[in-house]
Amino acid sequence: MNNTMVRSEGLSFSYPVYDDEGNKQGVNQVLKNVTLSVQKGEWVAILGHNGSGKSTFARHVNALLFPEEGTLWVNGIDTRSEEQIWEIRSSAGMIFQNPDNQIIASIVEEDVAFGPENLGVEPSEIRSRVDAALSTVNMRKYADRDPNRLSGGQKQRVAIAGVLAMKPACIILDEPTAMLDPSGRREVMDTLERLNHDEHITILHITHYMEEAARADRVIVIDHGEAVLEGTPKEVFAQVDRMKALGLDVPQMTELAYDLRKSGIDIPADITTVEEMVEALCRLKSKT
Amino acid sequence: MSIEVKNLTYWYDAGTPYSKKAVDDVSFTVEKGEFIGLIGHTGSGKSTLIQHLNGLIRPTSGTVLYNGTDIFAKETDLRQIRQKVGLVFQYPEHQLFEMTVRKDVEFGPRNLHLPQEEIDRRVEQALHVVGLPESVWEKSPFELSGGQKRRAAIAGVLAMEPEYLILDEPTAGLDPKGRDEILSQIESLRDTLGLAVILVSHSMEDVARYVDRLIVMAEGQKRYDDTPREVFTHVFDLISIGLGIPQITELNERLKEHGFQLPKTILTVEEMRDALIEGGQIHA
Amino acid sequence: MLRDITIGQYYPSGSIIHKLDPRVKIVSTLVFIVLLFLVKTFIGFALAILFLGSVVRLSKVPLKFILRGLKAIMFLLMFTVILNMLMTKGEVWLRLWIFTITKQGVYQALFIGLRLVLLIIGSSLMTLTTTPIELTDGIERLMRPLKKLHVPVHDIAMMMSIALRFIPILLEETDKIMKAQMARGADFESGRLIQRAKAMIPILVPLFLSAFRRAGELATAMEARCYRGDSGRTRMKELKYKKRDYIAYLVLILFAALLIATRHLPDIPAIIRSLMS
Repeated sequence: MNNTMVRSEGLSFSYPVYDDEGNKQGVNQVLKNVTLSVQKGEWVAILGHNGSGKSTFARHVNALLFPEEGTLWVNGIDTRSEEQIWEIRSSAGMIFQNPDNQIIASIVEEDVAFGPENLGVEPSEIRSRVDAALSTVNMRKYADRDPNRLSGGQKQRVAIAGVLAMKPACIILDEPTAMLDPSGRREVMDTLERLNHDEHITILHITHYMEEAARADRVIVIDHGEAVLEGTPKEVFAQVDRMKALGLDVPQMTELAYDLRKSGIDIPADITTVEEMVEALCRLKSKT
Repeated sequence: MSIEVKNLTYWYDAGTPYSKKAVDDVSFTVEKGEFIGLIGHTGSGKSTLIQHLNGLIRPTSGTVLYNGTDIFAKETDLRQIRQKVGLVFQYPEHQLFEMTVRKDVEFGPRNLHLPQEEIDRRVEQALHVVGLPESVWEKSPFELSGGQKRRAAIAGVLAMEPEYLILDEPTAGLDPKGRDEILSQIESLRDTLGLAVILVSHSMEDVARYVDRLIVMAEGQKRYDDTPREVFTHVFDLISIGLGIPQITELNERLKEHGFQLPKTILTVEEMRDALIEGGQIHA
Repeated sequence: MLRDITIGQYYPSGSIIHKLDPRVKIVSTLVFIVLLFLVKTFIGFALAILFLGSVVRLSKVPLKFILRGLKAIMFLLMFTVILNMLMTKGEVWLRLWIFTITKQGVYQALFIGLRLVLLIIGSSLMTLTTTPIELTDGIERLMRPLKKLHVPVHDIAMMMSIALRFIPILLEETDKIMKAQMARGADFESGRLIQRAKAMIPILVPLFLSAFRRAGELATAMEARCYRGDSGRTRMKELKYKKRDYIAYLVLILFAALLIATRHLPDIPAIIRSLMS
């Protein structure tokens, strides 16, 4: 239990659906009996097509939404215990898709200070946390800039620094790279890798990009509100047919391995990176 | 029939401390029926460039010729140009405003003061082309799913019956299935309606699969203008200007370093499979 | 298009005036404006011009930049001056057709004109040397005593700073929506008033929707970062007066005292008259 960062048991959630007259028509079951757990220090990618319920799950972890049925524990705290809500929100920080709509202040460092200010941290302590957080995301140089003049990747890193300044044990990112270009995406991914490796922060990363999910320790696929697939990226991506049926992609390398296997070539099914593919093909070539 | 961009230069915020050259002496020609990919990272000038093509932005110098006429000349009716050169902005669903999908798509043709039957014909055709079922036509656009909203917005531009269609990041924020659907629809638009399409994107995977010609922008300048196959031979330069290359193209480079006999460039997984097997590089 | 509109223009030059505490600048500007209405003599105006001139000099903001702000209200300024010149009764100097120009009228017009010009330069100097966020901070601190009267000072300040952050974003968005609708053949320039008002609907609806969407997302993001209003909240940067701020206040008091003193001195025309007689 002590090593568990997030644990959900039988978590269900639904939105009411109204007709044109505003009468309740029924419910939209967004999450169905989700049971899963994330260990401290783990990097978990959550995949699923739009509307699969993955964002709703993320909002539960940050105690922005509360389970209808079942229970969710964050760092050992039941998210429904109202008096500890600030503890949950500061220990499981959240990053959203649109970088513009989560930056509050007009100066980078003041935005990073926003979280600790809300928590009532001493001014001198805030200062050192802000400086440290900006250094961690490599944005120290931009401390006194206007966020409006930063690139998407830089804005997203400022948002990450804003969460870091609250000293979280876990960060949940809801499609943080969806609105970024390839270099912005790389900046954010490298930042996440540093946070996970060097700062041992648990990462829950919701994404549409399979190459990004391949960098996680574990992948969970959510479909129609249910956790349907789970395992290491290799285990999950190797199920190419299943992934495609779920409306998802697999990395190009995994797809190539799958195609080659179908043509009768003996190559591992769980290749996800270019390096692994080069290695596997070289081995095959030397055989012939 | 062509759009001809001639020595186009545009200074952003000219005359202020923030002024910056966004487009720097760019020239190219788009012929009817072409499918062009325009790539470059954010700030490379690609979004500014396309807004010149239908006269939404006036160039600082240089010009754009539509079938030989200067679109920035005094006597040119820009509204006519905008009808012929359709522009779909990024996140186009954010400009929906009408009560129903049908009314929203009507907005464009109505601005052209067409007779009602013609408006109806165009609207229905556009909605069919983007694959929106009749059951949603009378619904509020805001009730649709994300992917449907985007298709409704694209129909709004198609109903103008343009000859050229420019789409700025049409797949941004969509999931893999939504991405594939939109892209294959765009491809069929070109094939069925004979439109010339310019697809602005920063996804190399997307453009590699669909376009015939690729224009790469970097720091306001045109860096490459060639077939994707030719452009992707410049792997390292593309990476250095901040563009990702498809995993498969990278694999091709790496394998060649290891002595594999492979084509100059490879754009898709299928090509690689065939090159490896039929090329006799590996055996079952 | 809308990019040309600049709200709360700021001119970064890093001068000593820029570094002053925003509260000093807000208080000084208010005091200066009040003082301007107390000035009745040429000596007083000379003093005010000297004072403002020195501040402008210290601020390192080019005079040309400051005067640009005057251009916008030139018409209003001329109108006020001429009206005052023509409408004031007194010792007649000149008669032209139906107009009479009096001595008192000329003085009055000159004073009003000077007062307005100084007022505008003075207050634009405040925005030119203070970032919007500093202004908000300053206003929040100055208003803090009002909290006891249940004025939601914190909320007002938070709203102001969020508005400052999102004004440029919404302007850009308006620009983009306008262009997107123009690409669909919309016409915002021609037509009668009603048609033009109607033409705004395709811009306003998406703009409001977007503003609401942003507001919703921002509220969620603020909640996720433990925002709960004013309670238990600290600030990283508390405004603190430094030595230069006290000096600035001292200078201000000195200037105010001098200016008030000029009210009791004989004015230049009076001096000249006494010398002539």
